[in-house]
Amino acid sequence: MKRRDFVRTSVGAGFVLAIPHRDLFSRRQARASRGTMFDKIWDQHAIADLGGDDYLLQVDRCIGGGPAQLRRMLAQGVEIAHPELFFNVPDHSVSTDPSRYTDPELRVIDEDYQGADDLRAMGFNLWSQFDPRYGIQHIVGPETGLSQPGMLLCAGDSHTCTHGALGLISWGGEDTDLVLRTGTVIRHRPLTMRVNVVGTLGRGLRAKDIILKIIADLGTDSGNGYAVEYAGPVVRALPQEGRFSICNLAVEMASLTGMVASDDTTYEWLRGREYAPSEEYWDQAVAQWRELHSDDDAVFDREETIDMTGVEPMVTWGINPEHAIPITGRVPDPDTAPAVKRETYRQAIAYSGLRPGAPILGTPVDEVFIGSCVESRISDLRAAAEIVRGRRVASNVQAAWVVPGSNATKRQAEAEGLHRIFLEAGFEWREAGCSKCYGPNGDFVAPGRRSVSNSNRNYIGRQGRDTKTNLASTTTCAASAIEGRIADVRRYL
Amino acid sequence: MPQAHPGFVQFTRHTGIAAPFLHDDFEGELIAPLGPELLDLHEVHMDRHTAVLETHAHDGSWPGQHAFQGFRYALDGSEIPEFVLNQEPHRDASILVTGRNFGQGSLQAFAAIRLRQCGMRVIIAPSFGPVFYDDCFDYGLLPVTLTQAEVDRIAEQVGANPRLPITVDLVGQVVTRADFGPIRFQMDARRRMNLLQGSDQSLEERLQHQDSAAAAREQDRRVRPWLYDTRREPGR
Repeated sequence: MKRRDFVRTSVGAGFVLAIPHRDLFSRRQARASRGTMFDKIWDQHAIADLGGDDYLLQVDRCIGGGPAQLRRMLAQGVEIAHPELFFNVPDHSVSTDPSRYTDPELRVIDEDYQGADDLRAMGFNLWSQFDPRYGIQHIVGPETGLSQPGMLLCAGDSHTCTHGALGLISWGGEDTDLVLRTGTVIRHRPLTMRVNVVGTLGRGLRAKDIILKIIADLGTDSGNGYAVEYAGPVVRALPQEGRFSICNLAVEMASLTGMVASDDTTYEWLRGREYAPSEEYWDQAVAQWRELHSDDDAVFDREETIDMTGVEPMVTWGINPEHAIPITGRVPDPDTAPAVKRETYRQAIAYSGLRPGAPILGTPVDEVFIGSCVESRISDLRAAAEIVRGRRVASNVQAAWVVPGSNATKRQAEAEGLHRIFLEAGFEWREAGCSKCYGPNGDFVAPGRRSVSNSNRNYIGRQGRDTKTNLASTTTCAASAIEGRIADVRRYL
Repeated sequence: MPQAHPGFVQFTRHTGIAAPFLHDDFEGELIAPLGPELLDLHEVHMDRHTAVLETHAHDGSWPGQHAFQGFRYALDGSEIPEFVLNQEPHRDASILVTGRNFGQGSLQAFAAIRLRQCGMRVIIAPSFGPVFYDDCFDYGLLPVTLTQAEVDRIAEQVGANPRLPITVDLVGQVVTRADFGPIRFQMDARRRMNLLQGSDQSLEERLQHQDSAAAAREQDRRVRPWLYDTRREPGR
């Protein structure tokens, strides 16, 4: 039999058996491995087939188990299976105000984490804002090396798909209580989709522009029921940090997860990080990871190709990430839009206050936000600083913030003097956290204002009531801050 | 053993007034909005396992009122009359008839929680956001997937005669109303059985396979020992 006549199945993570294809099918008519990266990792984690394409799976990492949750469970007498697999940070709830370490009002949110030594002694990695490893969960998981290729990682937060850029399966929306109890999850096996990104990436384009283009072309529900692998020469050529930006918005196309196969770029980026495999195990780990890519004859349930040749920097005009247009493009007219889009477009026009047919370039902006789990890593801050260096934020911009993704990123940026570039230009240089991307930490866009943001969601009211958000890349945001209106970053290169 | 999800409730059949709300791609965050005025509420509800147990926020307000808040109330707090749940008889609706990809994006479990808190039991749509769909089962909502044509037809009939109740029967897997014939719907067998029996088996199912899970974990500790090496100097 040829190799593709075998299906890799598993009696547990890491222990792979090859079973003849027909034997599997005689037992069940289910979605089976067809040689994709997703299939390989899924099968390695399958403990039991529960029927109807539902599986019990082993979890390798879980972002969950905050102090309040753990104390509630421990009080109920619940046993926790594998504390060492969990890490958590109060990223959504902590203010990024520069005075948060001293202002007693702002400190209080973080107290649970500060006083969690007993839970840390049990093996949980819980990092308060004072911990050097603190930051946005989807930044610090990879940054500390806790997230690694080949893993199955789940969490409550929807942007958990970010970690998939390391070549692992990750998803959000999981009930972490049950993961804490058992170290396992139950999931419906999704279909597989590959998005091949081809062509030549234009000047000034970043990973964020690529994923906005993908979602604009395929739609916000295109990934529903699928696990998406981003592939093709453009993705392969991206640095590791750009791959995170792509996978971060996988959930904005409604897919369970986004993935990019790991390669030397990944291994170089990961090596030496605090929780990455030690030198003792490094070669062994890399040898395992190298197996985890889609085979040449892998079969996907759906394949899409996105050609980046000639694509301009992208910016959204409306109320979801699909509403992205080229920077020199015009706001669409609901009356000439496809019938199924018309109602949403009308709603978006009414909310955004933009005129159908008007150019998006030059739209005045009140606030600029650079941060979030999309693009707040050191390479993003460097790119923004390049645009800003020696320039000033326009006087009509009432708040321009740079929020590093983690304490480590902030330290690194300060060591490179990036913070001075931002401060001299008139930006606020904030502490790490989710900040304006998610309101309940107190960082809001003021009512009625328009914000250009490098984050991932522009839903009605996401950044505060009656606020309008235009999503764009980090450098487009930086250029827009300088001009005080939505700007074409290519003028600054 | 307690339910794995405290919001889980039995579902066999439900009869109630429907509200047509035909928006495609309606985001979870519009169902459960974020905003400065909701800050305290979110702090109270940050843990999804205690969230549904709170029928009232600590200030005594009814949390269900925050479902669809930006659609339900104007900035001055007055009701927006065009919004369907502000209209009679839809104010008492327990079945929402809505558009494609309903609940897309995610606000962890809050979208499902808010809908339940404002009295919904069934959501009928051509498709659902995947995270929201899963959350529905944990928080006492039944998501019913029908074709676009069927959804449009139900919405039209409801518009013509809003007071006539709809029955959603999970036993027979049909949606019925006096003025239209039974419309069949499909449902994942595992989940359907859990709902009919009124017991959330998601923990028991995991525990049944405890031995295989432990064996897999032991094997994995040998194959990928580095993965379990996460103890460091205590954090802060």
